[in-house]
Amino acid sequence: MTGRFLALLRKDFHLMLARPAIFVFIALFAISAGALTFYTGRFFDANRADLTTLFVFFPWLFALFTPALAMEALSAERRSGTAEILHALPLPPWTIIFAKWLMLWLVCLIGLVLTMSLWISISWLGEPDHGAIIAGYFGAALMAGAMCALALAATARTASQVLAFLGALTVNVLVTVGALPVFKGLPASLVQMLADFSIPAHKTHFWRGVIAFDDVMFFVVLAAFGLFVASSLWRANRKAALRIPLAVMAVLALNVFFASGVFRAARLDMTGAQLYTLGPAARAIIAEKTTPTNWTFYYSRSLASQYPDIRSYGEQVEETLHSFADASGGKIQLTIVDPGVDNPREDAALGAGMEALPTDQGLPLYFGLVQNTHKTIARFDPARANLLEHDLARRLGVASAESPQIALYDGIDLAGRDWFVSGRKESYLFSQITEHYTINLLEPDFQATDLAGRILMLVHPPAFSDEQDQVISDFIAGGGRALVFLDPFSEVSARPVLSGLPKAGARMASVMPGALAKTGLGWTGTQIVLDRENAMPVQRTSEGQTRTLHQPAWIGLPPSHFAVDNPVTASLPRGLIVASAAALHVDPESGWSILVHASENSALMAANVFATDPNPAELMAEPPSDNTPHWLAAIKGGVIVIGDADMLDDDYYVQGDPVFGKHAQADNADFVLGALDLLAGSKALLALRTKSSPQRSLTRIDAMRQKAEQQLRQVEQSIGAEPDAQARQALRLVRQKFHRQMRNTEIALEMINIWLGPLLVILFGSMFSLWRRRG
Amino acid sequence: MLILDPGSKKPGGPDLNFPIITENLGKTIKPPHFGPERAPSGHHLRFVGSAQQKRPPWFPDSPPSPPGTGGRIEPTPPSFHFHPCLQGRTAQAWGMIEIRHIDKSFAAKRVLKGISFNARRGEIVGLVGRNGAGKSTLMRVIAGCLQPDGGSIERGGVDKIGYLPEGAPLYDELTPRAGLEFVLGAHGFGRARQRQRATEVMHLLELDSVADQVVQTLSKGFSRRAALGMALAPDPDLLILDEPFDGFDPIQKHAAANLLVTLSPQKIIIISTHSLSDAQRLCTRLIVIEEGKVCADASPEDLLKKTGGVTLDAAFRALVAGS
Repeated sequence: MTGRFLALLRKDFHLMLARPAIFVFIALFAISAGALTFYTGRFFDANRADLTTLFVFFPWLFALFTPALAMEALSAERRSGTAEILHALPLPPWTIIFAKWLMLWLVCLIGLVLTMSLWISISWLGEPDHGAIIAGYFGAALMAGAMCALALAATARTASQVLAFLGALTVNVLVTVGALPVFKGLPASLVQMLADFSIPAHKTHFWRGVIAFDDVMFFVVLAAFGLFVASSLWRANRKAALRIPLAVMAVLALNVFFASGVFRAARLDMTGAQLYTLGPAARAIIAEKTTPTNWTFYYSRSLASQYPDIRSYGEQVEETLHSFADASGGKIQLTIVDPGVDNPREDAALGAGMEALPTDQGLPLYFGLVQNTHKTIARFDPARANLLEHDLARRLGVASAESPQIALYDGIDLAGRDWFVSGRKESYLFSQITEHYTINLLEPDFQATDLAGRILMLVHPPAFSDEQDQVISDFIAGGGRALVFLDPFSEVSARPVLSGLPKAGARMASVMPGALAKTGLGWTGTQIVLDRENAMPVQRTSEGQTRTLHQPAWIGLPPSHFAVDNPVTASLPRGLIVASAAALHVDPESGWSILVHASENSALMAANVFATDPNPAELMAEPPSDNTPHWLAAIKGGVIVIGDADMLDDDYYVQGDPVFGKHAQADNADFVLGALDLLAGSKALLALRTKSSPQRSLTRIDAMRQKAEQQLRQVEQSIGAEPDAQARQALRLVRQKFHRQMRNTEIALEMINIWLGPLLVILFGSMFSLWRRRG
Repeated sequence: MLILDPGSKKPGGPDLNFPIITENLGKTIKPPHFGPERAPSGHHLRFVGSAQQKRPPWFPDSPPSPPGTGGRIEPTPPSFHFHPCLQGRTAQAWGMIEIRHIDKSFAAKRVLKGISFNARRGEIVGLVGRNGAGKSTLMRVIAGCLQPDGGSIERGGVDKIGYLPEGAPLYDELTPRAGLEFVLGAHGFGRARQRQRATEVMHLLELDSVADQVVQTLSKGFSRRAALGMALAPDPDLLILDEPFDGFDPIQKHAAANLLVTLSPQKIIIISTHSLSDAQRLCTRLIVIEEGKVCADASPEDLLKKTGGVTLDAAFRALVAGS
């Protein structure tokens, strides 16, 4: 049989090579994939060193291209009459179909290989997670195989190319769309089954870098089903055709079986950092837990199935929750509830504090976790997908008796207690801290007992009384843990309140507690740091003209400015944003270590001058840089000091989100939570945080951008506040040079990734066809 | 196994008298003269009547036409009288095919209506009939391309089937060599044997000059020969040829027919054709099919005798009109 099958394969391979359309197909596939990635997926704007922007288009590309490919495979045999030759040969029908399928699959794989130039490109542009990409391609290959088989099944009975194409397209699109709103009117259980029996339900693991057994089996079963149907239909065999409905039922049953979670643990995490595998840190936290906990995961599964992003994250959450429950040895009892609408389950969800996500159908989508009886996560935010394990482990810790407490001196009203004056409610950071810690707000007359056993968090502290200074001093000397945010010019405090005036009694500058000074730490209490290399762009309107300028007092610090060996700052990929920060200086022998520093292109200026709102362009030039990478945050034992308090305010790093409320644009809150974790001694939690690998960016593009911005700032620095025509021209030239450089890079990469491979294929195909004809 | 020596080819066309060497016999065999005036004796290979002469004594001749039918031959189911030792084994090792009560319908149209006949090694059975009578459908059923709705087909001593479908389809994008090698491979020939046998067949059919040219660039004659080659390549025990001479010029037709006659002693050959003169010259038996039924089953001579026709055309017209 092997020899006969090889003869079939050889014949189909020769036929494939003999058809110029195959080369065109491969080229078109690669061009479409590249074009979609670069233009629709906005590859450069996405700035991600992974291939998710490419992978997301594969289902649709295969749904469209495999019918175009398969429409000729069997219909041409029927049309030309060669099917009769095949029928008369001593070959089982399945071998004929299998050989055809292998050829179709091979063509798709060649198409996939052509898209791998993008892999090479992002490896040049950044540091992608190769394991995740391999998993993605593996999933794409399986998907292509399944779609080829389905396309063959849909084309097995017709000699018409058009009918074959339309039939295959219909089948593939149905499998691709899965549970889109077309199925809205069907019963929920049927929608669920259809949603499970669809490619969207099984592709995302691969895209994330996880090869799950049930996903692999889904595609294998789908391919086997397609081949079975095609074999049955290929010969006009009524008995075989009658078996097709049974096969459909078998496939649905198998899919339900595989989706039931029996094989949930059978998965291969291909990501470099084992992102989706419960790590030892999480297991340690679970092991420490002694008291039983009930987790109720409220998840509107049927509704979520219509929103691929939510559905995908929902699966991840569900899997991670199961992993926690499995690892707890029964201490965590997990219940999954689909609350539905207008029923007691929904009442229970609302009663437990769940917050519904709004949907375009007007139905509430519940997606949160209740620990015991109270909400723990009101709604899971896909933006925190990488920190899911950390967040869950943290929630688990909160429930335990050793939940850490914080004594917070809130100098900039993070808690929103004065919201009726300021119009600002509880800040994002405060809400994040309260989810993990118990906060005790310190009153101005706090006593030593208020600090006992707690983490002291001083935000924009005033001049404390000598007694209180002594209390803090004793607290620190006694091994107490403290997190202190000092600010030489608190822009948050200077901000007008609802009345339009600055808040009454607002203090502009913090006062460093004497206890800190005794540790060998000093700060520029009347001066702020100007960092021209990391100056944030700001819009400034002057004389009716709005210009984008760089404000060196607002500093966007990249991860390269953090101490990589400290767990607090080891994993802050989005960087920190600080505003009018102070520089810290320490005695060399004092034991303080640096956490965050500014660039060397920095200078110090008087805070009271900055308070007069000088032109940022002037600040880019004057005063001259002192070539010192000023310290902005430092740590010594259990004390961490940061030279800025404004960084905690939402205005500097948080943006509103219509669905999830607030989204952090920088890692300011994570920095604070990490610092608190460290001080609380939660090394396991810190390990989870550092384990989490964020999205990787295109570092080469970032470097080019930074270099260009640096040049821009240097020019700005040299031309001063009032640029003349020549200076403006110089600025324009720098900008143009940068844009040209970026555009050239983009064009080169687009040419290579969209056109080069396909053109080579077309060239090869043309030469091969010519050679064959001449031969 | 046949190894065919090209002999002395004429540059203008095929040499009709090329010598044939049978591998088993190891001696040169002159092909018979093809035509009505053929002499059945004096050759190692026999044509009409040769199979009958080789039949075992218990294997009957074709059934005679029943008395009182006015010369018209009624379709009759075949009846066999097997040797007692072979009772219960319907198809025998000497090579025969037995077709019993084959029914086939397409949608509401019943194309084959209980067709039965048999054929034995050494016979060249011609299926003749009007367009749409069911000849091609019957051949497809015999070849295994179609599943019959009813009836059975039993093959004895028939391991390989060579089938030339109607229209002589080919893979236009392949070369004759690749097409032949594919068919041979599908029949289980190893790679070396595929190459060797493909070369032999191409030589036999004088396709050497176009062996590596894609089919779509070949003339119709070459294409037809390439298609015939695909049917002949595996040296089948049962050769089913649907309109094999369609598209051949008279010389090519003569050569092809000559070849079939040469090969016939080792094979069961079933041919469908519209050309009754071809059928008369080539076939040992003719089966006339009309409206999905066997209308007559006899040797050409018997058909002429029993219908009283001067020519087969006349006999055919009489049979069809009668049915």
